[in-house]
Amino acid sequence: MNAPETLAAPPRAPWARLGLALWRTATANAATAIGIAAFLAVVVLAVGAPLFATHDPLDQDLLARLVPPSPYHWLGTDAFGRDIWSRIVYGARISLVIGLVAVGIAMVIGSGLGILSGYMGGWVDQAISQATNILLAFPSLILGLMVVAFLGPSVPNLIAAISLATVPQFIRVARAPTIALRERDFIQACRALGFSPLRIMLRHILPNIWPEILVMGSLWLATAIRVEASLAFIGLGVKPPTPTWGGMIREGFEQILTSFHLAVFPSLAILVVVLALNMIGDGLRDALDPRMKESGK
Amino acid sequence: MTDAPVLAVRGLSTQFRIGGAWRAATRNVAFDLFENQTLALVGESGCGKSITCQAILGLLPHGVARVEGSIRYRGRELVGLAEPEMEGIRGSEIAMIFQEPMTALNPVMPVGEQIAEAILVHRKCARAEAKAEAIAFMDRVRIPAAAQRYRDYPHQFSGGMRQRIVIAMAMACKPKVLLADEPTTALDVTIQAQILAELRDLCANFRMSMVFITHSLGVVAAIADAVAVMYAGEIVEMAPVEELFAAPKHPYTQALFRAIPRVDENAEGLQPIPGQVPPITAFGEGCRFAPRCPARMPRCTGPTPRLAGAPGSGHAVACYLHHSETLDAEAAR
Repeated sequence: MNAPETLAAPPRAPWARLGLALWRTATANAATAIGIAAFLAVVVLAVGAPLFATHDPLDQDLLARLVPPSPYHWLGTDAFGRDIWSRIVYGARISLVIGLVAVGIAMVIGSGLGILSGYMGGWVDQAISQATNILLAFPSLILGLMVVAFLGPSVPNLIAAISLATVPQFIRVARAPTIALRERDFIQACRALGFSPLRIMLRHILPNIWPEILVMGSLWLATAIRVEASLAFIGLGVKPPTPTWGGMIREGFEQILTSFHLAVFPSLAILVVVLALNMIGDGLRDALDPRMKESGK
Repeated sequence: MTDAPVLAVRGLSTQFRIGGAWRAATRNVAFDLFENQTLALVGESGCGKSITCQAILGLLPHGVARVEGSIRYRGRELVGLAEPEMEGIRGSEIAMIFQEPMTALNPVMPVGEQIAEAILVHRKCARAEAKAEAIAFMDRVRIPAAAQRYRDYPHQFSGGMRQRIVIAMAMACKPKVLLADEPTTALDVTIQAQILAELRDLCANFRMSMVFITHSLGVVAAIADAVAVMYAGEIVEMAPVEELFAAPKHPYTQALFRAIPRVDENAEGLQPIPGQVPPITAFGEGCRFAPRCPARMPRCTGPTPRLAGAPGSGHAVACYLHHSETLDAEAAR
């Protein structure tokens, strides 16, 4: 990168800024480009699952149990003779829906509370920060485990559990920059113009910290998918026979010594998604963090 | 002037909690601001000029700062007014512009929308109407090609242009009082002159009053009708601008004038004021300028001198050097 490029005027609105940042890192950084491509591929597979699946994911074929990968069953079959490729494709829907909805909810609630906490200060800040610290003391998996064990496993409960586990992360990521922004002249100017606190928080603070929140969202989406799979693996996920990646690994684990492909392929699916999201998140963070710009590519 | 003042400040004290104790940052500040009048608040950094303005708008943080005394806007008491009512006054009745135009605008919002938002908050009107009015105001403060620049972002403007936008925002709801906190300090001299002319023009057109904070006596001469000189949180001298420039009375004001470089004198004529403004934790009784004052007398460390002047002159000073005559005058009544 040469000097004039780094001196370019900062991009404009939050969305444009984010889009430009994504584009810049994707073109400059192969890892980010691969991450974006891989994640988009998984999304396409999940959305078009009926098109890409070669078999019905629930169809049992007891004459073709534990078949290794073959031209007919691309990734082989499980103990009930169900096609593993088709189950992975359908399982992607569960993972993505739970992950996206849970992180979406956590993002909205968490950034709302974080901005409120940072902007209002005082006892509001104290209360929210203390609650956040208590939640942060538990690893997200343990917290999710407790909630699901308490409420019982179902898609809404899993979403609630994962949301609760990720909310404190967003509170923290929104609170710190809000405190810095609150002292900036333009926020003081907003107050001097008689804008209400709600308006200042939504129209003036949120757009300024939006990119950071989205970076955090991409990283925590990976964690959410991992937590969902972990819960399924220990039997607290969506009930069988619905295909989920974690559940498939659990079933495959029983056959690991004889037919290891049962556990390996869903594990690879999780690996690809988590890695892709982390690559996107890292790339975005580098692109939006001005301190990283000088280090070049 | 016989009309009632637009803004009447009496006995305004602001205190900050520092290390568990309340410390007064300003003490007993009092002034009247009349319609279409510009009052300049002059003084060194840290003498309480900005704090006074923030106190008027109720912008000082609760819990850390407290305000005592009386601030009446057209007869309405602002001290102790509930926050929602204060929000209705800010911007629409009393507006404020800040020193640093580079940071006084939201970096991720088009400038036109920021002006339109100020209009929308205080007036029930359609978005399109607010937009049209915002463009008209951008035009009014002489931003070239206002309509085309409506959707531009702050970083696409120069410092002077940004200050014009800040002024347009503050003017958007046609406030009666404008508090200008060193609006030209961060600008270079030619731009400074343009902005001053702009403000003078707007005040005349909208019959607006202005409190203009500055530390530059040159700017005071260019814009003010009356001047209040502040030192260490108190007003030490107040006078119509011609009077103050013709005959400054307080030793601090005199020292300020001696500290201005002049082209017709050599550099040795320039006299800095020895010492510094005391920190607010070190304020005691008596005249706060006494430790730096060339005309210090024993009684200066006694009771604090009051701001007083010959009746009808409009020139008041808080200094014992001039008090004998005013006290005599008072006694004669």
